[in-house]
Amino acid sequence: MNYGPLVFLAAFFALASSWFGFVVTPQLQLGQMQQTNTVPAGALYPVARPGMAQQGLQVYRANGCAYCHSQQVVQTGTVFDLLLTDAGTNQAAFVAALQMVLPRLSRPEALEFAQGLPKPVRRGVAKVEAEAAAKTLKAAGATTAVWIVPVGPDIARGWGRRRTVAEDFLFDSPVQPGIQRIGPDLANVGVRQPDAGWHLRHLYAPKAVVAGSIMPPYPYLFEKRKAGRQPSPDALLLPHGVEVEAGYEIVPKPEAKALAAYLVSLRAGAPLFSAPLSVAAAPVVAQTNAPAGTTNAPAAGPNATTNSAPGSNP
Amino acid sequence: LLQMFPVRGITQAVIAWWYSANLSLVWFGLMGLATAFYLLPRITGRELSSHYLSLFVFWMLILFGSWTGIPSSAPVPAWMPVLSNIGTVLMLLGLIGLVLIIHQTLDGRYGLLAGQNPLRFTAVGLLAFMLVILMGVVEVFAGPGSFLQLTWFGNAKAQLTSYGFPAMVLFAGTYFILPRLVDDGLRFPKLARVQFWLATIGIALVVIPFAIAGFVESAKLAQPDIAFVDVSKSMLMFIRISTIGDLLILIANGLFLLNVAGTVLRYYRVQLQAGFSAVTIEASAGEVRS
Repeated sequence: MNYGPLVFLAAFFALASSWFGFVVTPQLQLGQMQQTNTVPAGALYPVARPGMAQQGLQVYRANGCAYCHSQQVVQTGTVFDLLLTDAGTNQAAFVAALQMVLPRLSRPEALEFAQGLPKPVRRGVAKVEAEAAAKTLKAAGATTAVWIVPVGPDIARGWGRRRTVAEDFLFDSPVQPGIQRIGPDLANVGVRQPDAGWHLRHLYAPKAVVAGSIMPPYPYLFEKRKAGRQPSPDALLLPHGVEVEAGYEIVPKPEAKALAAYLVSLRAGAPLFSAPLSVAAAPVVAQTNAPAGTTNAPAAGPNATTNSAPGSNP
Repeated sequence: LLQMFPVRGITQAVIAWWYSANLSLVWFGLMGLATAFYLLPRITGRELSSHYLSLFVFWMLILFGSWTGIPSSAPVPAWMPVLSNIGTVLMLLGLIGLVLIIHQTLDGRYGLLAGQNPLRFTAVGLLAFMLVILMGVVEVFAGPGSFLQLTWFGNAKAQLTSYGFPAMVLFAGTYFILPRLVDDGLRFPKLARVQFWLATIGIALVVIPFAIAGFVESAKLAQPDIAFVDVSKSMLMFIRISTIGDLLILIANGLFLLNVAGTVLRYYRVQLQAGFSAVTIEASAGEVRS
């Protein structure tokens, strides 16, 4: 029997099946993804990055940052907190229910618990347990709120509040999820280090800004030029241990500024349907009638921020 | 879909992962296996134990190997890493088939493998391929929350997949074919053996420290109390050792180039000389009229 065509067909079938599985199906599922809404606020997510940050993505790609920095926050699980938000009007029933849920409380302690709400009644438990406690308290007329808390080593390290999902990369082209963590994960670096000036200093002299860093410096993204009569507003506030000759200043090139803008725009913490997370509602800002310009808040520029002490851990 | 009509968002990463997994495991893997399955019987003189078993190995590797590729930590819907993990683990079937066929073909006489140079390279290459599959399985069993794929372990596996297996088997193929094409054999036959040892020790020095580093780094990353700078500091010693491995590989590749270039040049020089003397006649100085 001639095996040739059979082998060819078998190989073709195998490869075609994986092509369908990993090229066509993801395109059908993810390729037409549109912006989604945050839960529960209903804001649009994600919003496209501002122009400088889009250029910064290309600089990030060109410098191969993705070879050392990942942009994927890993979440290993979810736990639930139960918050008591209102004690209700039936005091006796409430106290009884609270003592069922928190057995160690005596009656006066239970009454005192009802002051200063919201207070957590359960912390870090499974959903079933949280809902059971909620049911008990609701039966007594109290109102509760279940708080969703993602957990994982990355989250405990402060690298993010929830895992990264496909929506986070919606408007990036090309996407840079990264392959290895020779350096810290950058999915939420815009939240950890919202100051573009920190990023510029870090790019210029990473070992001076972060003690023990193994990141190579990127001086070619900056220009050393003679300072004019006054230092340029863009000039870097050099970190400790980095010197430049008198009369010279280090100024970031447009690529460096774009890259810093991109890094500052990296935030992946919005609560979504695919990555639920409870966030405190933003405080309601009273609408005032004060005309614009009343306050004199100075615009934060790269030069205006303080020098973060070396050894600060991103 | 990536270059001409770029797809949106993370779909690019999925397609890129599919492409690179297929390239390294299916394309290079099968190419290397083809060379190995040709060289093994040809040089040892023993027939491959079973035609069907070798077809089975190929089929398993294509069928399941092409589904690997999506890392567990990827920000994609969960069915993709799950399918990749299933594919990776099911490649063990291909691995078992491969071990069986080698064992049956050699019939226990592994000493044959150390005999000739091409066979030595083939043996190391096949071992590397088996290690790649096993490393993939280890990554899967580390769990969805493990960082193993994001550490140096993933790098070790990549090095093994690109250099350890296809390169070694291609060295074997070249060392087999080249002496048969030219009349005199290799230019520096002893260098071939030196190159083998340098390349093997080199790739071992690259892969083993990186694999250990991956485990250490993954364990440390899982503890949020350890600051990241301490994690990266603990990796430095492993990186240094593997740089020595890289240097050895560099020297080995240089020797290979020297050997091949020398052989080819000598061959053509001999041919040129033969061709030249065929069209010219040696004339003594006295015969030439001034």
